[in-house]
Amino acid sequence: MGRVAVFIFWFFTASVAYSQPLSEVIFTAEGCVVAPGGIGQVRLRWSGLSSREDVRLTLDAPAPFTFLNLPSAGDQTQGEAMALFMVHPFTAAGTHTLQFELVQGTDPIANAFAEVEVEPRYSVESTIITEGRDTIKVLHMNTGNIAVFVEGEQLIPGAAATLNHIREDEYALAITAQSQEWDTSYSIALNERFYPHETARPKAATKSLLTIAAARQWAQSGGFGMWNARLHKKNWQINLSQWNSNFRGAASYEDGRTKFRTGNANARVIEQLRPKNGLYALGSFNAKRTDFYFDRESALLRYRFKRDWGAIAPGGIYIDNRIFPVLKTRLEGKTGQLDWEAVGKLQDMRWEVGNRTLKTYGRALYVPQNFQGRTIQQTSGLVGTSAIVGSVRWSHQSSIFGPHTGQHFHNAQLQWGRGRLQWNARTQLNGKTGLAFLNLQSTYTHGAHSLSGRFQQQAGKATHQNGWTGMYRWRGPHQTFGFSAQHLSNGWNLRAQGSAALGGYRISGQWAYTSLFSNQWFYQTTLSKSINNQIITLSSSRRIPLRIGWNANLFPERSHATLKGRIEGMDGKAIQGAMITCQGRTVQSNSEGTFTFQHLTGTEATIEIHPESLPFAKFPSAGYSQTILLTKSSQNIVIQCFTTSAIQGSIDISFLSEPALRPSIDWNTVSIQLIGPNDSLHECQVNALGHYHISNLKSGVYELHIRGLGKYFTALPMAIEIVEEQILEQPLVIQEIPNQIPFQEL
Amino acid sequence: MKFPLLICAIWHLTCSAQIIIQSGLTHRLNLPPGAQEIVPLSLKNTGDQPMLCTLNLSDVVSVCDSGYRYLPAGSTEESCTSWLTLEQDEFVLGPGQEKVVKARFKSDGGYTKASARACVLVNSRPVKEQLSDGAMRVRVRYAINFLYRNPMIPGVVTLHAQKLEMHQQGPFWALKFQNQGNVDRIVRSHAKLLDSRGQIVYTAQSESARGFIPNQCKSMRFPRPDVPAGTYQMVVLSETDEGERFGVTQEVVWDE
Repeated sequence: MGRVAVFIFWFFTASVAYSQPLSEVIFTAEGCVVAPGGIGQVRLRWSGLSSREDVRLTLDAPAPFTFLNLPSAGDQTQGEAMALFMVHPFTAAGTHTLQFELVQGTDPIANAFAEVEVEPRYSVESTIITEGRDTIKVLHMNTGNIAVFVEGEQLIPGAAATLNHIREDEYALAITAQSQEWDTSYSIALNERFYPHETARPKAATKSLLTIAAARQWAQSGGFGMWNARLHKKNWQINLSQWNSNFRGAASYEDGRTKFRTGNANARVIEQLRPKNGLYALGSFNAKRTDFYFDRESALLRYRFKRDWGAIAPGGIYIDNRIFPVLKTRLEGKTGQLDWEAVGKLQDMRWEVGNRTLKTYGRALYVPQNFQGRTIQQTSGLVGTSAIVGSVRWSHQSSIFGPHTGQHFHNAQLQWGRGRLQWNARTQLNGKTGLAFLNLQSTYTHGAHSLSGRFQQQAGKATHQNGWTGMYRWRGPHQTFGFSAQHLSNGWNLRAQGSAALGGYRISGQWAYTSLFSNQWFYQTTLSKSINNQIITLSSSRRIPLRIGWNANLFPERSHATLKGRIEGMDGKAIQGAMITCQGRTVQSNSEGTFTFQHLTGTEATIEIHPESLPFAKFPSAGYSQTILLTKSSQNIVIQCFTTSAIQGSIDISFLSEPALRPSIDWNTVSIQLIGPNDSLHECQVNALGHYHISNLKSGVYELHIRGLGKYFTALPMAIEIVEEQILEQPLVIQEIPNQIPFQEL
Repeated sequence: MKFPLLICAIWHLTCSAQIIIQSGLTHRLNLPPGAQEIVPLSLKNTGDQPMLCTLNLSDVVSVCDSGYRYLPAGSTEESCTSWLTLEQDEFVLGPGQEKVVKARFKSDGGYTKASARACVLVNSRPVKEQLSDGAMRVRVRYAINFLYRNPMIPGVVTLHAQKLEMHQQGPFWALKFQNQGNVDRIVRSHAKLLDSRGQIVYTAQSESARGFIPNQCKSMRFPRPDVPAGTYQMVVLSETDEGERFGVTQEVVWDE
């Protein structure tokens, strides 16, 4: 029954002028166009009503219409009213007829019809219910007011349907919805990932026990030699370097909670200071919350509190026979971060705010008098921006520095690229010297070839210089070649370079000519050879006629093992698709039931078998979690799964009526009940396809009932026998109940 | 005329004084004769001035297209207004105030018909009215229907199709039904189109379930079929909330 509201007109009867009956009653209603969920109005007009009795206005509106108010004006002789109503968001699009009737006493005296047109609104909402390797179950809901077809299934307004989609893409599911005059396609991101049966080979090389780099060069100004050795074992590392008469070294230990390093090398108590060479010790402990540093002149102790919004680390520093408070803070948000460090009166603040499109960053450093001369940078400020809009990129930096921050420097760059062509414009300005620099470059790339031209101009108070550069580059699979020519206002630079690699040998060289300097020719060549984990390099240039280098990674650590496995039933049949996780990586068994984990570390590995990935009624004999000792570089295991007694099958419907008269069944309400020998009860819900599965049964004879069939279907209980360790395939049939339907022919 | 109407509309929208019924406008009761049920009626004053609410018993009938007709209590054969007792029939609701009025429905122990109907009309008016000469005031009245089904008497259920409303360009088509039985029913319909080979080429469900009181007419609407032009056999199966089913068939010619 539709929602009914009755409006009553109460006429003011005291006025004598309206007490006479009028001749003819005129009553009209005028509808409107309204959006679903919106407010509409019906304009009512009347004239010629009698004022002797109350006149009632009744209306019969369909359920989606809710009448709110009836502002009106006029009297019995003539008047207007506006019936305001609200339309339910799922109201069907199209024309709806509302009937208004004027009733005096019990007699209708006039009626009018208003046609209200509800605008169409197309809308479908889809929610993923389950993601499978091959299929995805999605709940679609028509949230508009027009019937739509989603993947061929019709959804009336407000209706919902669960559909199975084939997984064609790993990351997104494309869905098509269409109606009479509308269609759309949209995609839903998929979260579940499915895995290969074998983990990829590790790309990163293992760390060597000993890494050595040594070089000796002979030049006109004198010879020079150096070597560096790094000894690495588990969490320990020793680094030693020597060149000429200098010797440096450090030893360190690091694990997840503690870090410690000591040695004789360049070090600094805070990063703003210049490093000094000498003995030092630094590190952090207490889950890396407490930081410390010591050397002969300075010391630091600091404790860090971590919170959701960032971290704060108060402490103290000893330097120049004085103790200063130290405070280091970090504020982190979704769009940026702010770091602030205060050491006595030294203040250092850095920030970065923005997103992928627009970003701004900066640093403000104040160095007080007592720190001047010891810091790398003096009091200065820097502000930068970067923006990416389509294929255009913009970046800019401005800085102030120098005594009393009297100097400033600006740099800006604009890039635009489309297809093979890229444009780049860069400009720099030094505010103190007044020197400005402009650089315009265009690069065209086609396959392995690239050609670019550049114009540069430098202008200042006393200088003005233009320059042109042309450049060609080619990059082959094992060779490169490049040539450039630069013309400045008073001369030329020409440069050619190339490289080639073949069978462990690599040769590279560059040759240059310049008319700008007295030494007009320049060359440099390098020849290197790789032997196992070693590289020997010979190079020669105009200033250093001969240089020999040796780099070696000796005694590589063998810490990796491969675990190959097979998952199978007790009968030896392979189980495909079982998901197994080990050391953070997941694989799925292939059609042979095999899987492989590579690059496992440690002496043992624990594998986790995902229960939901195992076939029906299969359980791993040794449990879902198993630990394997990695005694060999390649280990093999077999995971055996036992099968419990179970029953499964699908339900068919035996119809008695003609196809057009067949009732539909709602599988969501149907369940299977098994009553066991000791009145044990096992029950399962039938899935949307009419399939059922019950596992973990004991052998014996059970009574099977199909419940929730509704009014139109029936099924007789049946006896089934469950045999130990066997899955009984039992198809079931339900019967349509004969029903005489009275039929009318229009 | 338009200017005062606009002023009036703005006044009403900004100073709305309206009672709303929160407990639904239709109550279906399925009780053995002699049994009783308490039905809570929830009212709320959504306006900004105190409202005097008056509840009156009435009878309701429907004759196909004439809509609902509200008649004096006890004037129809299916009237059950005498079974209804209201806890309170006049009270004042302050602005924003809610009230629950219990309606006791006690069916007659010797009732031998399949169904009965009654209605509670809810009138409301501001406690303080400002009158002026020649003015006209508007009141909203709600009709809360009580539809009784006698589980001891099966009743006659006949859903009769009256008219096929097929608009080639419209997004929907409709079939108009009349409840020619003597009990109310909630009906949902399924439509199918069969081609000349007997294959089902279109299946659709009516856009919503609709309630029919005896003699009432309503249209069941279906989404427009997307089928090639041709002649089809239309089969519409309607099912009531009590499980009765009715079929309608008709040969239809569909033009693209």
